[in-house]
Amino acid sequence: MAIASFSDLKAAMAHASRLMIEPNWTANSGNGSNVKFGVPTANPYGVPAGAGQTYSKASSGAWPFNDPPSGGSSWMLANLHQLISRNSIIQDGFWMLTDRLWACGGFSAISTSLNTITPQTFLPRGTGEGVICCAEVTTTIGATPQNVTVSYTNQAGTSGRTGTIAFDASAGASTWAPMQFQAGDYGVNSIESFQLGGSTGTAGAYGLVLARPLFHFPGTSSNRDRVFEALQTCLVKIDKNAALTWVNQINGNSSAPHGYGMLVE
Amino acid sequence: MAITTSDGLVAAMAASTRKGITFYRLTQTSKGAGLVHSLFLASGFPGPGATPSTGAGDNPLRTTAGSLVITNPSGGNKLYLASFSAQASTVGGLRLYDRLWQNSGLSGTTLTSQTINSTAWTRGDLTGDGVELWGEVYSAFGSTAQTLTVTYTNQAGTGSRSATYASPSAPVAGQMFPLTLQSGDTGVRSVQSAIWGASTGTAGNFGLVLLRPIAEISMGITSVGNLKDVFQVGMQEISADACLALQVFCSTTSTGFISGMVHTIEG
Repeated sequence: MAIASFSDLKAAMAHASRLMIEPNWTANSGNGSNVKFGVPTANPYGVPAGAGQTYSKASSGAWPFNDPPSGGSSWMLANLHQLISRNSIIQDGFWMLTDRLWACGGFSAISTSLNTITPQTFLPRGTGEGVICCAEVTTTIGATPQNVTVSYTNQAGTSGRTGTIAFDASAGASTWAPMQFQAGDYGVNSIESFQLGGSTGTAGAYGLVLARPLFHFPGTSSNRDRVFEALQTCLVKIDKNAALTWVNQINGNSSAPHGYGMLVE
Repeated sequence: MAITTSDGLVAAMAASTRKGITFYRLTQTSKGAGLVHSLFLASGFPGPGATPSTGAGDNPLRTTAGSLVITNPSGGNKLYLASFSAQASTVGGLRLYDRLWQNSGLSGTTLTSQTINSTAWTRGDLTGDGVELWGEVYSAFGSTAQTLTVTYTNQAGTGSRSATYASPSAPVAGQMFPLTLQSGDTGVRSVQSAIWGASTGTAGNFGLVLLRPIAEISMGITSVGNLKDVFQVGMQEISADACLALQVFCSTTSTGFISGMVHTIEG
Protein backbone atom coordinates (compact mmCIF):
# COMPACT_ATOMS: atom_id res chain seq x y z
CA MET A 1 0.00 0.00 0.00
CA ALA A 2 1.34 3.40 -0.88
CA ILE A 3 2.20 5.64 2.03
CA ALA A 4 0.02 8.69 1.66
CA SER A 5 -0.58 9.79 5.24
CA PHE A 6 0.77 9.66 8.77
CA SER A 7 -1.65 6.82 9.44
CA ASP A 8 -0.19 4.88 6.53
CA LEU A 9 3.30 5.59 7.83
CA LYS A 10 2.37 4.43 11.29
CA ALA A 11 0.85 1.27 9.88
CA ALA A 12 3.93 0.62 7.78
CA MET A 13 6.22 1.15 10.77
CA ALA A 14 4.31 -1.50 12.64
CA HIS A 15 5.50 -3.96 10.02
CA ALA A 16 8.91 -2.44 9.43
CA SER A 17 11.96 -4.46 8.57
CA ARG A 18 15.07 -3.87 10.64
CA LEU A 19 18.26 -2.72 8.99
CA MET A 20 21.09 -3.67 11.30
CA ILE A 21 24.10 -1.42 11.10
CA GLU A 22 27.44 -3.20 11.41
CA PRO A 23 27.89 -3.76 15.13
CA ASN A 24 31.43 -5.06 14.93
CA TRP A 25 33.41 -2.27 13.39
CA THR A 26 36.48 -1.19 15.24
CA ALA A 27 38.13 2.17 15.29
CA ASN A 28 39.92 3.55 12.31
CA SER A 29 42.70 6.04 12.77
CA GLY A 30 41.18 8.24 10.11
CA ASN A 31 43.17 9.75 7.33
CA GLY A 32 44.31 12.76 9.25
CA SER A 33 43.24 15.38 6.80
CA ASN A 34 39.72 16.21 7.85
CA VAL A 35 39.03 16.94 4.23
CA LYS A 36 38.36 13.48 2.89
CA PHE A 37 35.76 10.88 3.44
CA GLY A 38 36.56 7.59 5.11
CA VAL A 39 34.92 4.25 5.55
CA PRO A 40 35.01 3.02 9.13
CA THR A 41 37.64 0.32 9.59
CA ALA A 42 38.66 -1.90 6.72
CA ASN A 43 36.29 -1.80 3.81
CA PRO A 44 33.91 -4.69 4.51
CA TYR A 45 33.61 -5.28 0.78
CA GLY A 46 37.31 -6.10 0.47
CA VAL A 47 39.60 -5.18 -2.40
CA PRO A 48 37.61 -4.87 -5.64
CA ALA A 49 38.57 -6.76 -8.77
CA GLY A 50 41.19 -4.86 -10.74
CA ALA A 51 39.08 -3.90 -13.74
CA GLY A 52 36.07 -3.26 -11.62
CA GLN A 53 32.96 -4.96 -10.37
CA THR A 54 29.43 -3.98 -9.56
CA TYR A 55 27.97 -4.43 -6.10
CA SER A 56 24.64 -5.48 -4.71
CA LYS A 57 23.13 -6.72 -1.50
CA ALA A 58 24.39 -10.16 -2.54
CA SER A 59 28.02 -9.02 -2.58
CA SER A 60 30.32 -10.31 0.09
CA GLY A 61 30.42 -7.79 2.92
CA ALA A 62 27.11 -6.14 2.09
CA TRP A 63 24.71 -5.33 4.88
CA PRO A 64 21.93 -7.89 4.98
CA PHE A 65 18.33 -6.76 4.87
CA ASN A 66 15.10 -8.31 3.74
CA ASP A 67 13.36 -7.88 0.44
CA PRO A 68 10.14 -5.88 0.57
CA PRO A 69 7.38 -8.41 1.22
CA SER A 70 5.15 -6.80 -1.38
CA GLY A 71 7.63 -7.66 -4.10
CA GLY A 72 8.37 -3.98 -4.57
CA SER A 73 11.72 -2.72 -5.77
CA SER A 74 12.65 -0.51 -2.83
CA TRP A 75 12.23 0.36 0.81
CA MET A 76 11.91 3.73 2.47
CA LEU A 77 14.07 4.66 5.44
CA ALA A 78 11.63 5.71 8.17
CA ASN A 79 14.02 5.88 11.08
CA LEU A 80 17.75 5.76 11.67
CA HIS A 81 19.32 5.23 15.04
CA GLN A 82 23.05 5.60 15.54
CA LEU A 83 24.96 4.77 18.68
CA ILE A 84 28.64 5.52 19.17
CA SER A 85 29.98 3.21 21.84
CA ARG A 86 33.67 3.77 21.89
CA ASN A 87 35.07 5.16 25.11
CA SER A 88 37.57 7.90 25.73
CA ILE A 89 37.71 9.51 22.32
CA ILE A 90 35.19 12.02 21.16
CA GLN A 91 33.87 10.49 18.00
CA ASP A 92 31.59 12.47 15.88
CA GLY A 93 31.94 13.39 12.23
CA PHE A 94 29.40 13.69 9.51
CA TRP A 95 27.93 10.55 8.07
CA MET A 96 26.69 9.54 4.67
CA LEU A 97 24.69 6.40 3.94
CA THR A 98 25.53 5.33 0.40
CA ASP A 99 24.73 2.61 -2.09
CA ARG A 100 28.03 1.20 -3.38
CA LEU A 101 27.50 0.68 -7.09
CA TRP A 102 30.84 -0.12 -8.66
CA ALA A 103 34.50 -0.18 -7.73
CA CYS A 104 37.89 -1.19 -9.03
CA GLY A 105 41.00 -1.68 -6.97
CA GLY A 106 44.46 -3.03 -6.42
CA PHE A 107 46.30 -0.32 -8.35
CA SER A 108 49.77 0.83 -7.40
CA ALA A 109 50.29 4.35 -6.14
CA ILE A 110 53.79 4.48 -7.61
CA SER A 111 52.64 3.70 -11.14
CA THR A 112 51.82 6.51 -13.54
CA SER A 113 50.50 4.16 -16.22
CA LEU A 114 47.10 4.85 -17.72
CA ASN A 115 44.60 2.42 -16.25
CA THR A 116 41.82 1.72 -18.74
CA ILE A 117 38.57 0.17 -17.59
CA THR A 118 37.56 -2.47 -20.11
CA PRO A 119 34.95 -3.49 -20.68
CA GLN A 120 33.12 -0.34 -19.66
CA THR A 121 30.82 -1.23 -16.79
CA PHE A 122 27.48 0.44 -16.29
CA LEU A 123 25.68 1.16 -13.08
CA PRO A 124 23.65 -1.72 -11.66
CA ARG A 125 20.94 0.51 -10.19
CA GLY A 126 19.46 3.79 -11.32
CA THR A 127 20.95 6.48 -13.51
CA GLY A 128 24.23 8.31 -13.13
CA GLU A 129 22.62 11.50 -11.84
CA GLY A 130 23.81 12.15 -8.31
CA VAL A 131 26.42 9.37 -8.39
CA ILE A 132 29.76 10.45 -6.94
CA CYS A 133 33.23 9.11 -7.65
CA CYS A 134 35.98 8.70 -5.08
CA ALA A 135 39.42 7.13 -4.98
CA GLU A 136 39.37 4.32 -2.45
CA VAL A 137 42.58 3.40 -0.65
CA THR A 138 42.84 -0.21 0.46
CA THR A 139 46.51 -0.18 1.51
CA THR A 140 48.20 3.00 2.73
CA ILE A 141 49.87 4.92 -0.09
CA GLY A 142 53.00 7.05 -0.05
CA ALA A 143 53.80 10.39 1.52
CA THR A 144 54.05 12.43 -1.68
CA PRO A 145 50.69 14.03 -2.46
CA GLN A 146 49.55 13.36 -6.01
CA ASN A 147 46.51 13.88 -8.19
CA VAL A 148 44.60 11.23 -10.06
CA THR A 149 43.10 12.31 -13.37
CA VAL A 150 39.92 10.42 -14.19
CA SER A 151 38.20 10.15 -17.56
CA TYR A 152 34.52 9.41 -17.12
CA THR A 153 31.14 9.42 -18.78
CA ASN A 154 28.81 11.89 -17.13
CA GLN A 155 25.16 11.65 -16.12
CA ALA A 156 24.05 12.65 -19.62
CA GLY A 157 26.09 9.93 -21.32
CA THR A 158 28.80 12.29 -22.53
CA SER A 159 32.15 10.52 -22.51
CA GLY A 160 35.63 11.93 -22.16
CA ARG A 161 34.84 14.09 -19.18
CA THR A 162 37.75 14.85 -16.86
CA GLY A 163 37.77 14.73 -13.10
CA THR A 164 40.55 15.24 -10.59
CA ILE A 165 41.20 13.54 -7.28
CA ALA A 166 43.75 14.89 -4.82
CA PHE A 167 45.43 12.32 -2.62
CA ASP A 168 46.71 13.53 0.73
CA ALA A 169 50.10 12.39 1.93
CA SER A 170 50.02 8.86 3.29
CA ALA A 171 46.29 8.44 2.77
CA GLY A 172 45.35 5.43 4.83
CA ALA A 173 43.28 2.39 4.12
CA SER A 174 39.57 3.18 3.90
CA THR A 175 40.09 6.73 2.72
CA TRP A 176 37.64 7.90 0.11
CA ALA A 177 39.13 10.91 -1.69
CA PRO A 178 36.34 12.64 -3.63
CA MET A 179 36.60 13.50 -7.31
CA GLN A 180 36.20 17.08 -8.48
CA PHE A 181 33.81 17.02 -11.41
CA GLN A 182 34.15 18.84 -14.71
CA ALA A 183 32.03 21.99 -14.91
CA GLY A 184 28.41 21.25 -15.71
CA ASP A 185 28.44 17.64 -14.51
CA TYR A 186 26.36 16.27 -11.67
CA GLY A 187 26.85 12.56 -11.89
CA VAL A 188 28.76 9.63 -13.37
CA ASN A 189 27.56 6.82 -15.58
CA SER A 190 30.88 5.02 -15.86
CA ILE A 191 34.65 5.28 -15.57
CA GLU A 192 36.74 5.07 -18.72
CA SER A 193 40.29 5.39 -17.38
CA PHE A 194 42.40 6.99 -14.68
CA GLN A 195 46.04 7.91 -14.18
CA LEU A 196 48.20 9.00 -11.28
CA GLY A 197 50.16 12.21 -11.92
CA GLY A 198 53.28 10.93 -10.19
CA SER A 199 54.47 8.40 -7.69
CA THR A 200 53.35 8.80 -4.10
CA GLY A 201 56.48 6.95 -3.03
CA THR A 202 54.82 3.81 -1.78
CA ALA A 203 52.80 1.40 -3.88
CA GLY A 204 50.02 0.79 -1.43
CA ALA A 205 46.81 0.02 -3.25
CA TYR A 206 43.94 2.13 -4.45
CA GLY A 207 41.07 2.13 -6.89
CA LEU A 208 37.94 4.06 -7.71
CA VAL A 209 34.44 3.68 -6.35
CA LEU A 210 31.10 4.93 -7.66
CA ALA A 211 28.43 5.40 -5.02
CA ARG A 212 25.03 6.97 -4.67
CA PRO A 213 24.65 9.06 -1.51
CA LEU A 214 21.29 8.39 0.10
CA PHE A 215 21.23 10.26 3.38
CA HIS A 216 23.64 12.68 5.05
CA PHE A 217 23.45 13.24 8.77
CA PRO A 218 25.54 14.59 11.65
CA GLY A 219 27.11 12.13 14.04
CA THR A 220 27.35 12.13 17.78
CA SER A 221 29.99 11.51 20.41
CA SER A 222 31.12 8.61 22.56
CA ASN A 223 28.40 6.65 24.27
CA ARG A 224 25.68 8.86 22.93
CA ASP A 225 23.04 8.17 20.38
CA ARG A 226 21.18 10.09 17.75
CA VAL A 227 17.88 9.30 16.11
CA PHE A 228 16.57 10.60 12.82
CA GLU A 229 12.86 10.13 12.32
CA ALA A 230 10.88 9.92 9.11
CA LEU A 231 10.60 13.63 8.38
CA GLN A 232 14.36 13.94 8.81
CA THR A 233 15.25 10.96 6.62
CA CYS A 234 12.68 12.26 4.11
CA LEU A 235 11.70 8.60 3.65
CA VAL A 236 14.66 8.21 1.35
CA LYS A 237 14.37 5.22 -0.94
CA ILE A 238 16.72 2.27 -0.58
CA ASP A 239 16.81 -0.11 -3.52
CA LYS A 240 16.14 -3.68 -2.44
CA ASN A 241 19.48 -4.67 -4.00
CA ALA A 242 21.51 -1.79 -2.55
CA ALA A 243 25.04 -2.45 -1.29
CA LEU A 244 24.96 -0.13 1.69
CA THR A 245 28.04 1.58 3.03
CA TRP A 246 28.70 4.14 5.74
CA VAL A 247 30.97 6.97 4.75
CA ASN A 248 32.31 9.35 7.37
CA GLN A 249 33.59 12.88 7.02
CA ILE A 250 36.21 12.22 9.63
CA ASN A 251 36.77 14.47 12.59
CA GLY A 252 40.02 13.18 14.01
CA ASN A 253 39.65 9.47 14.48
CA SER A 254 36.72 7.56 13.20
CA SER A 255 34.70 5.32 15.38
CA ALA A 256 32.64 2.23 15.84
CA PRO A 257 29.07 3.17 15.18
CA HIS A 258 26.26 0.78 15.42
CA GLY A 259 22.55 1.05 15.41
CA TYR A 260 19.68 0.25 13.18
CA GLY A 261 17.39 1.60 10.55
CA MET A 262 13.69 1.04 10.08
CA LEU A 263 12.64 0.12 6.55
CA VAL A 264 9.04 0.58 5.47
CA GLU A 265 7.11 0.25 2.26
CA MET B 1 -1.46 16.97 -5.53
CA ALA B 2 -0.90 20.18 -3.57
CA ILE B 3 0.61 19.73 -0.11
CA THR B 4 -2.04 21.18 2.18
CA THR B 5 -1.93 18.79 5.12
CA SER B 6 0.58 16.84 7.19
CA ASP B 7 -0.60 13.72 5.40
CA GLY B 8 0.15 15.38 2.10
CA LEU B 9 3.65 16.07 3.33
CA VAL B 10 4.23 12.39 4.13
CA ALA B 11 2.82 11.39 0.75
CA ALA B 12 5.16 13.81 -1.01
CA MET B 13 8.17 12.34 0.77
CA ALA B 14 7.09 8.82 -0.09
CA ALA B 15 6.52 9.73 -3.74
CA SER B 16 9.01 8.96 -6.46
CA THR B 17 9.41 12.70 -7.05
CA ARG B 18 11.32 13.21 -3.77
CA LYS B 19 14.91 13.92 -4.73
CA GLY B 20 18.18 14.02 -2.82
CA ILE B 21 20.90 16.33 -4.12
CA THR B 22 24.39 15.74 -2.76
CA PHE B 23 27.10 18.38 -2.78
CA TYR B 24 30.70 18.77 -1.72
CA ARG B 25 33.04 21.67 -2.23
CA LEU B 26 36.79 21.82 -1.72
CA THR B 27 38.11 24.31 0.79
CA GLN B 28 38.44 27.90 -0.37
CA THR B 29 40.71 30.69 0.82
CA SER B 30 38.36 33.22 2.30
CA LYS B 31 38.82 36.73 3.62
CA GLY B 32 38.17 35.88 7.22
CA ALA B 33 35.78 35.66 10.12
CA GLY B 34 32.45 37.36 9.76
CA LEU B 35 32.67 37.59 6.00
CA VAL B 36 31.00 35.61 3.26
CA HIS B 37 32.50 33.41 0.56
CA SER B 38 30.93 32.02 -2.58
CA LEU B 39 31.06 28.32 -3.42
CA PHE B 40 29.60 28.81 -6.91
CA LEU B 41 32.97 28.55 -8.66
CA ALA B 42 34.48 26.07 -6.21
CA SER B 43 35.50 22.60 -7.39
CA GLY B 44 33.75 19.49 -6.19
CA PHE B 45 30.38 17.92 -6.83
CA PRO B 46 28.47 19.09 -8.82
CA GLY B 47 31.16 20.54 -11.08
CA PRO B 48 32.14 24.19 -10.62
CA GLY B 49 30.43 27.19 -12.15
CA ALA B 50 32.05 29.71 -14.47
CA THR B 51 32.67 33.43 -14.21
CA PRO B 52 29.45 35.14 -15.37
CA SER B 53 29.00 37.24 -18.48
CA THR B 54 30.14 40.84 -18.32
CA GLY B 55 27.92 43.93 -18.59
CA ALA B 56 24.25 42.99 -18.54
CA GLY B 57 25.21 39.58 -17.20
CA ASP B 58 23.21 36.38 -17.51
CA ASN B 59 20.46 34.42 -15.84
CA PRO B 60 21.64 31.11 -14.36
CA LEU B 61 19.14 28.28 -14.39
CA ARG B 62 18.89 24.86 -12.77
CA THR B 63 21.37 23.16 -15.12
CA THR B 64 23.86 26.03 -15.26
CA ALA B 65 27.30 24.79 -14.27
CA GLY B 66 27.80 25.21 -10.54
CA SER B 67 24.15 24.69 -9.66
CA LEU B 68 22.80 21.97 -7.39
CA VAL B 69 20.57 20.55 -10.09
CA ILE B 70 16.90 20.29 -9.15
CA THR B 71 14.22 18.48 -11.12
CA ASN B 72 11.42 20.82 -12.07
CA PRO B 73 8.02 19.88 -10.61
CA SER B 74 5.55 18.21 -12.92
CA GLY B 75 2.15 19.55 -13.95
CA GLY B 76 0.92 22.30 -11.69
CA ASN B 77 2.94 21.11 -8.72
CA LYS B 78 5.30 23.26 -6.71
CA LEU B 79 8.75 22.26 -5.51
CA TYR B 80 9.70 22.54 -1.83
CA LEU B 81 12.81 22.18 0.29
CA ALA B 82 12.27 19.14 2.55
CA SER B 83 15.61 18.99 4.36
CA PHE B 84 19.06 20.54 4.39
CA SER B 85 22.13 18.94 5.94
CA ALA B 86 25.72 20.13 5.83
CA GLN B 87 29.08 19.90 7.53
CA ALA B 88 32.42 21.61 7.14
CA SER B 89 35.94 20.82 8.24
CA THR B 90 36.01 24.43 9.41
CA VAL B 91 33.29 25.89 11.61
CA GLY B 92 30.91 28.21 9.80
CA GLY B 93 27.44 28.70 8.42
CA LEU B 94 26.05 27.75 5.05
CA ARG B 95 23.30 29.40 3.06
CA LEU B 96 21.35 27.83 0.19
CA TYR B 97 20.03 30.35 -2.31
CA ASP B 98 18.57 30.70 -5.77
CA ARG B 99 20.97 32.60 -8.01
CA LEU B 100 18.71 34.72 -10.21
CA TRP B 101 21.08 36.99 -12.07
CA GLN B 102 24.83 37.54 -12.16
CA ASN B 103 27.46 39.53 -13.99
CA SER B 104 31.20 40.17 -13.93
CA GLY B 105 33.72 42.53 -15.49
CA LEU B 106 33.28 45.43 -13.11
CA SER B 107 36.45 47.32 -12.26
CA GLY B 108 37.75 48.55 -8.94
CA THR B 109 39.49 51.53 -10.54
CA THR B 110 36.92 52.91 -12.99
CA LEU B 111 35.53 56.12 -11.53
CA THR B 112 32.79 56.69 -14.08
CA SER B 113 29.46 54.92 -13.91
CA GLN B 114 29.76 51.29 -15.07
CA THR B 115 26.64 50.47 -17.06
CA ILE B 116 24.93 47.17 -16.31
CA ASN B 117 21.20 47.17 -17.23
CA SER B 118 20.75 43.61 -16.01
CA THR B 119 19.04 40.98 -18.14
CA ALA B 120 15.55 40.10 -16.90
CA TRP B 121 15.23 37.02 -14.71
CA THR B 122 12.13 34.86 -14.35
CA ARG B 123 11.14 32.72 -11.37
CA GLY B 124 7.42 32.03 -11.25
CA ASP B 125 5.59 34.86 -9.54
CA LEU B 126 8.66 36.27 -7.82
CA THR B 127 8.92 39.95 -8.69
CA GLY B 128 11.78 41.17 -6.53
CA ASP B 129 10.47 41.23 -2.99
CA GLY B 130 13.04 39.43 -0.84
CA VAL B 131 15.66 39.45 -3.58
CA GLU B 132 19.04 40.46 -2.24
CA LEU B 133 21.83 42.32 -4.02
CA TRP B 134 25.36 41.01 -3.48
CA GLY B 135 28.78 41.58 -4.95
CA GLU B 136 31.07 38.71 -5.86
CA VAL B 137 34.81 39.02 -6.40
CA TYR B 138 36.32 37.03 -9.28
CA SER B 139 39.74 38.68 -9.13
CA ALA B 140 40.64 40.85 -6.17
CA PHE B 141 40.21 44.58 -6.61
CA GLY B 142 42.32 47.03 -4.69
CA SER B 143 43.02 47.31 -0.99
CA THR B 144 42.02 50.96 -0.62
CA ALA B 145 38.70 51.08 1.18
CA GLN B 146 36.05 52.87 -0.89
CA THR B 147 32.29 53.01 -1.23
CA LEU B 148 30.52 51.30 -4.10
CA THR B 149 27.12 52.69 -5.09
CA VAL B 150 24.77 50.60 -7.22
CA THR B 151 21.68 51.99 -8.92
CA TYR B 152 18.79 49.53 -9.01
CA THR B 153 15.04 49.13 -9.43
CA ASN B 154 13.33 48.04 -6.24
CA GLN B 155 10.69 45.37 -5.58
CA ALA B 156 7.89 47.79 -6.47
CA GLY B 157 9.39 48.71 -9.82
CA THR B 158 10.72 52.07 -8.69
CA GLY B 159 13.97 52.91 -10.45
CA SER B 160 16.97 55.04 -9.52
CA ARG B 161 17.31 53.54 -6.07
CA SER B 162 20.79 53.43 -4.52
CA ALA B 163 22.49 50.58 -2.71
CA THR B 164 25.88 50.97 -1.11
CA TYR B 165 28.77 48.90 0.06
CA ALA B 166 31.80 50.11 1.97
CA SER B 167 34.58 47.85 0.76
CA PRO B 168 37.10 46.54 3.25
CA SER B 169 40.75 46.41 2.40
CA ALA B 170 42.20 43.63 0.28
CA PRO B 171 39.24 41.53 -0.80
CA VAL B 172 39.95 37.98 -2.02
CA ALA B 173 38.63 36.12 -5.03
CA GLY B 174 35.41 34.36 -4.16
CA GLN B 175 34.42 36.84 -1.49
CA MET B 176 30.78 37.94 -1.54
CA PHE B 177 29.56 41.17 -0.01
CA PRO B 178 25.99 42.34 0.63
CA LEU B 179 24.86 45.76 -0.54
CA THR B 180 22.65 47.84 1.71
CA LEU B 181 19.43 48.80 -0.03
CA GLN B 182 17.88 52.24 0.15
CA SER B 183 15.61 52.84 3.10
CA GLY B 184 12.17 51.28 2.69
CA ASP B 185 13.16 48.79 0.03
CA THR B 186 12.61 45.05 0.54
CA GLY B 187 14.04 43.69 -2.65
CA VAL B 188 15.51 44.24 -6.09
CA ARG B 189 14.10 43.67 -9.55
CA SER B 190 17.02 44.81 -11.66
CA VAL B 191 20.37 46.57 -11.59
CA GLN B 192 21.29 49.52 -13.78
CA SER B 193 24.81 50.70 -12.93
CA ALA B 194 27.63 50.81 -10.40
CA ILE B 195 30.11 53.53 -9.46
CA TRP B 196 32.97 53.84 -6.96
CA GLY B 197 33.56 56.93 -4.84
CA ALA B 198 37.27 56.65 -5.62
CA SER B 199 39.68 54.07 -6.93
CA THR B 200 40.41 50.98 -4.85
CA GLY B 201 43.85 50.90 -6.42
CA THR B 202 43.50 47.73 -8.50
CA ALA B 203 40.95 46.97 -11.20
CA GLY B 204 40.40 43.32 -10.38
CA ASN B 205 37.20 41.77 -11.63
CA PHE B 206 34.00 41.68 -9.69
CA GLY B 207 30.31 41.39 -10.39
CA LEU B 208 26.90 41.65 -8.83
CA VAL B 209 24.46 38.87 -8.00
CA LEU B 210 20.72 38.94 -7.39
CA LEU B 211 19.72 36.05 -5.20
CA ARG B 212 16.80 34.73 -3.19
CA PRO B 213 17.78 33.11 0.13
CA ILE B 214 16.18 29.72 0.72
CA ALA B 215 17.70 28.23 3.88
CA GLU B 216 20.60 28.55 6.27
CA ILE B 217 22.32 25.99 8.45
CA SER B 218 25.03 26.25 11.07
CA MET B 219 28.07 24.00 10.97
CA GLY B 220 29.09 24.72 14.51
CA ILE B 221 31.28 21.71 15.28
CA THR B 222 34.12 20.74 12.99
CA SER B 223 33.13 17.96 10.60
CA VAL B 224 29.90 17.24 12.45
CA GLY B 225 27.48 19.63 10.91
CA ASN B 226 23.77 19.77 11.17
CA LEU B 227 20.49 18.62 9.67
CA LYS B 228 17.27 20.60 9.39
CA ASP B 229 14.00 18.91 8.59
CA VAL B 230 11.10 20.16 6.54
CA PHE B 231 9.62 22.27 9.32
CA GLN B 232 12.97 23.72 10.35
CA VAL B 233 13.64 24.90 6.80
CA GLY B 234 10.12 26.26 6.61
CA MET B 235 9.22 24.05 3.66
CA GLN B 236 10.52 26.84 1.48
CA GLU B 237 9.28 26.85 -2.08
CA ILE B 238 11.94 26.46 -4.74
CA SER B 239 11.05 28.06 -8.03
CA ALA B 240 11.06 25.99 -11.20
CA ASP B 241 14.41 26.38 -12.97
CA ALA B 242 16.04 27.66 -9.78
CA CYS B 243 19.82 27.76 -9.80
CA LEU B 244 20.62 26.50 -6.31
CA ALA B 245 23.96 27.70 -5.01
CA LEU B 246 25.82 27.99 -1.71
CA GLN B 247 27.62 30.71 0.20
CA VAL B 248 29.59 30.31 3.42
CA PHE B 249 29.56 32.55 6.46
CA CYS B 250 33.18 32.15 7.45
CA SER B 251 34.80 31.80 10.86
CA THR B 252 38.35 32.08 9.57
CA THR B 253 40.42 32.40 6.40
CA SER B 254 39.37 29.08 4.92
CA THR B 255 35.95 27.64 4.30
CA GLY B 256 36.99 24.06 4.94
CA PHE B 257 35.80 21.05 2.99
CA ILE B 258 32.02 21.27 2.90
CA SER B 259 29.56 18.51 2.10
CA GLY B 260 25.89 17.84 2.57
CA MET B 261 22.58 17.12 0.98
CA VAL B 262 19.36 18.83 0.00
CA HIS B 263 16.07 16.96 -0.33
CA THR B 264 13.23 18.32 -2.40
CA ILE B 265 9.60 17.26 -2.63
CA GLU B 266 6.78 18.37 -4.88
CA GLY B 267 3.07 18.68 -4.59
